[in-house]
Amino acid sequence: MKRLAASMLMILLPIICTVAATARDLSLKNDPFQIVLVTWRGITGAEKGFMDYLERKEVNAVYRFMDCGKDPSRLPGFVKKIRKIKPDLVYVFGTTATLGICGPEASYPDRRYITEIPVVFNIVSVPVKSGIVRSIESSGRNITGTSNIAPITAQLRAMDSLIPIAGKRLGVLFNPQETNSLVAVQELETRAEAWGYTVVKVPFPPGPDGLPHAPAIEPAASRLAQAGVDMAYLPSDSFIVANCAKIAACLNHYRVPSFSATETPVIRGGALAGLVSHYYNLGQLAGHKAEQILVLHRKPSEIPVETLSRFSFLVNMKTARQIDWYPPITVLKFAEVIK
Amino acid sequence: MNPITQRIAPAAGITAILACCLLVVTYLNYCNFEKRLNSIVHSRFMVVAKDLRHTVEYGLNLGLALENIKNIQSLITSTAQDNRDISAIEIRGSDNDIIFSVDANGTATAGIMFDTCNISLPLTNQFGIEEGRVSILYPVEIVQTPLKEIRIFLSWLFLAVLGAFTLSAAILLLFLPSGKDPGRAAWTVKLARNTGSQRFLLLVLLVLLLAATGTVAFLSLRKFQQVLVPEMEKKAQIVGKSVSDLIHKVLDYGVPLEKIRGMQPYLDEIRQEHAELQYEAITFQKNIVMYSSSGLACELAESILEKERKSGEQLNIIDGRYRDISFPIQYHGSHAATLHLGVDRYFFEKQARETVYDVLTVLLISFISIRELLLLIFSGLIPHDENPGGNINTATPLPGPSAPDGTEQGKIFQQPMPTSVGMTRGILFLFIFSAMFPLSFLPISISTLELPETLISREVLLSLPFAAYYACSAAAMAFAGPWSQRSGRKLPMIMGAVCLAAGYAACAATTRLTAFTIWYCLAGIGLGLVMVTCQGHIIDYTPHNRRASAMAGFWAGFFSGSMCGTGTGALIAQHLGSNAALALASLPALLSALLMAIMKTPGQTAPREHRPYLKEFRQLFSNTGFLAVTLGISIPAKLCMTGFMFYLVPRHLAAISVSKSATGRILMIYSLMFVFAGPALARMLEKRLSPAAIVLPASILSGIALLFANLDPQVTAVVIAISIYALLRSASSPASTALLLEACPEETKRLGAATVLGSSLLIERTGNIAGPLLAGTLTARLGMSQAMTGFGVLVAACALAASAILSLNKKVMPPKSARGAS
Repeated sequence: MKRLAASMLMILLPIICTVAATARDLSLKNDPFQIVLVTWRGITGAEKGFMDYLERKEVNAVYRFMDCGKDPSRLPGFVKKIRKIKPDLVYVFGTTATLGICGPEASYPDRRYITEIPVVFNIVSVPVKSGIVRSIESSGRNITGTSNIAPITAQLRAMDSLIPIAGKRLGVLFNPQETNSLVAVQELETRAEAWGYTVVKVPFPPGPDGLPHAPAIEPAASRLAQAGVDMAYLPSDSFIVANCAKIAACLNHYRVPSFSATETPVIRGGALAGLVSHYYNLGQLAGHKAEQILVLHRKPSEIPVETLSRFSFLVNMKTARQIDWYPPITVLKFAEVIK
Repeated sequence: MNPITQRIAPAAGITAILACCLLVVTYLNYCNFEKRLNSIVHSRFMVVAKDLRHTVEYGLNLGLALENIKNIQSLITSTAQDNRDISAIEIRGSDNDIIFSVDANGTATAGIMFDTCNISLPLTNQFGIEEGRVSILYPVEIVQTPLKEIRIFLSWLFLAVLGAFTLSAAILLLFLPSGKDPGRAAWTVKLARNTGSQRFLLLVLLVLLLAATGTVAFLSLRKFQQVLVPEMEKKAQIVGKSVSDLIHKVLDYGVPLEKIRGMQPYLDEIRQEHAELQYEAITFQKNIVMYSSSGLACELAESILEKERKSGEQLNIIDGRYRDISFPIQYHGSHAATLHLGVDRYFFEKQARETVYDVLTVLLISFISIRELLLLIFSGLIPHDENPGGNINTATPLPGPSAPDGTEQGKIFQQPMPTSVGMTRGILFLFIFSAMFPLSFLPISISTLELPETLISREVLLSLPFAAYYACSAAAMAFAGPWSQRSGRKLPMIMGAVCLAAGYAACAATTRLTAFTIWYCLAGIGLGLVMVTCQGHIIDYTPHNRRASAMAGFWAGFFSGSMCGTGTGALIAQHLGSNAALALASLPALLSALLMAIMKTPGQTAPREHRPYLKEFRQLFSNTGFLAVTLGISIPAKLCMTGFMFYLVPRHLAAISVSKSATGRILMIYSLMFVFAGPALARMLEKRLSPAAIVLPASILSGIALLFANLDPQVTAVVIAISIYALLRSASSPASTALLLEACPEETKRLGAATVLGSSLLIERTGNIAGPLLAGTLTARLGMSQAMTGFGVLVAACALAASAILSLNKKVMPPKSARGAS
């Protein structure tokens, strides 16, 4: 009798396990994933790309939005709420929000920040230098994400295809208060000798509150034009993005071709060209990482922090006509043209 | 044998070789044509596929899903309408489902389409993930119909030229001087005795060979041009449309025509991508060039368009070779400019030059094969008692090579040689032709085999089959001597040839390194058996005073076979693949086995010499001079031959993208030096210098020569390094034998020269085995380039050490007058 019972158990056990696993899989398939999206300034193309990607991949998910409204003081409250909700994944937009939700890598593990729930960050310019991750290959903790800036060598190649930069003067307008800008200027200077160009640095002077203001733009652009630069470089900088229309207008007035590291100055501001990552595409890349975590059960620390493998070369033809400076036909062949 | 048979046999043999030569030349021409036609047709549709991919990826970059890019269907429909040769266009998703498609009738495709060629390009999104593929399908007839036409043409051409040549050869043999007494086989005898007649015969055959191959090459080219020019023009139409579409787009962006920047580099880029285009130009209304590709193309465009302007109409063909194809560029409904593309109608002729080296190789191989065939036929068909004047060996017009053991420095035979000895050379030629067939491609193709999982590094593992091959060959040599003395030479010879044929055929069929090694070892055993028994056969049936001459004939056959086999194998591997070439390699070996079986051997044999005993080895090993020459000169030479020349060089050349046929040609230099240049240089040096003064500097310099192999330009450096190395080795090889005997005069007196030489040869074989292993180990540790340098340093260092030891041994540097005795 005992032998019979043991035999039955031997037969039934694998069946029970299989049924249980299938049931679990089915329940996983049917129960939507809970995803919290922490945004910095409302829903952008990045979040649309993120959600579209998961929908296209048939990942069943429900989203809860938490918007900072550009106010970092709201982030600790978001951390508490997230702990309460216990979502399957947290999506965070931008460097400041990511630091507010996940904390710097140096202080990990810190109970003030989310450590137990996987986090995918998006639109972070320099994730290593801003202290979010230990290295690009592995964050070393429960987060991964995307960087929105094309490598500086790719940007230099793009500028070189517009105008051969060897022996030329490359002007750069930047906000000395912003880390992203300072990193970009430093990288430009490091490569100047190898590429054979000269960097003309023109920082926006700070106002009484220590931050640059719009009136500083016109004199800075004028200084750049007087220095006889062949092209002006606009790094990834929140001041530049916020004031891109005015900056581009000043540069266009002086007929200085401008090249941007981000898309807003070209699309909305009127800068001549840029090698950029579309927010929507970056959102899709972040969605791809979320899919790997949720569906393929990969650990975030195993997923490298990446940027897009192909960037968009934007050319603003209105600006080209305005300054009577046309990009070469080889660039126009593949560029995304804003007519 | 009656005189008619004597005439028919050589004529049939020569015709057979010419047929093979013509067949190979015709086949090479056909391959060249096929490659060009495929390339032109493929690149024509590739232009369309790339344009489509560009447009679709533009949509993907905007963040749209492939199925949501709505204008794709209309885009592929209009593309299919513009290109009537296209069977279908398909856009597939990442799961390979067709999302958009259109066939030649403008309707969606219904699944798999037969008899079509497919060009498929991936569609990737901005983070490098493949979202789908764009496929262009075009009917196989576009390629197959012209190919069929060319095949028929070439078949007739081949038969016609072969017929003409056969007729010429028949007339030549008919009018050759004939003896008065038919019973005395006077024609052959006269030819065999008369060096001038032989030279004349070979010269006439060479001229006929050149004429036949030249005719085939010339007429083939003319025909190819007729077929390819319309294809090139079709392609130019598509390229032109792509360029003019881009110019339209740029004008639509609002860029004034005269302010388009970067037009010249763009046109240059187009010309670089499509080499048959000689110029591109954009002109105003009166053919005034506004933009054009740079350099000579600009001058050409201006001169051609000037001619058109003067004539007042568009010329169809300009200067008899350029076809100008123009595309009007409209802007806002009016004619803004014209795009001109110039197609060179003789472009294919330039491309055909690539095959010239291959054709020359085939000619050289054919010429040497004809020469060897004449030796074989005259030796084999004339019974010994009918051959008082000697066979064709008595007056070989080309100098014989130096044997590695220095038995002869290229002297031609002066007295009659037994028939079977002469025939052995021909048989050996065939056998070595077979054995050396895979020399140029085997070290490369072996890396594609499935490797066993071991702790040994990949590089060392890949070298193991070669080491095992030489080890088995050495073991078979040791075993073959006593066996053949007991059972007679014929059986081991036949067994050896069959082993080699079976080994190669099995190697061609295997996919695993372990099985390959086993079968390759069988081939190695075959090589060892034949090498020893052939030499034994020559010694057996040659009078003592004629052995040196007979051995020179043996080595001449060896190096001729090696040269022809290496070149032919490389050509066949290039066009048919390595496995097919390896399988074909067994055929000449089987033929040699057949000839061995029918070979008649005279009754008397020469007295046999005993093999070295262990005691004799001990005595020799106690002599520093013997050790210095064997370890410092002979073994490094063998190490270099198997490790550097036969293993590293083919792999190095493959790594720098040299084709297999070119690798074969480069390796042929090694044998070429041993056959032609080395013996002449050796004779010249031996009149002036002592063996030590030849061998030691030559060995040091040969090591230094190997260091050149790593310089730039790489291929030229390898050629120079091999040429110098082979020249020095072949020139010093006979002297090294004399040096060995001089290094141990007492042992030579006591044991005999043959024992000393035999012992040294036996030890040298360890160099053969260690060569590939050393190459593999050095490559694994230091990389390919450093491994090659390592061989150079090793050879030079060993030679320097040997020089130092020998300079202390005064017996080795005897006065010049005393050298004759040794």
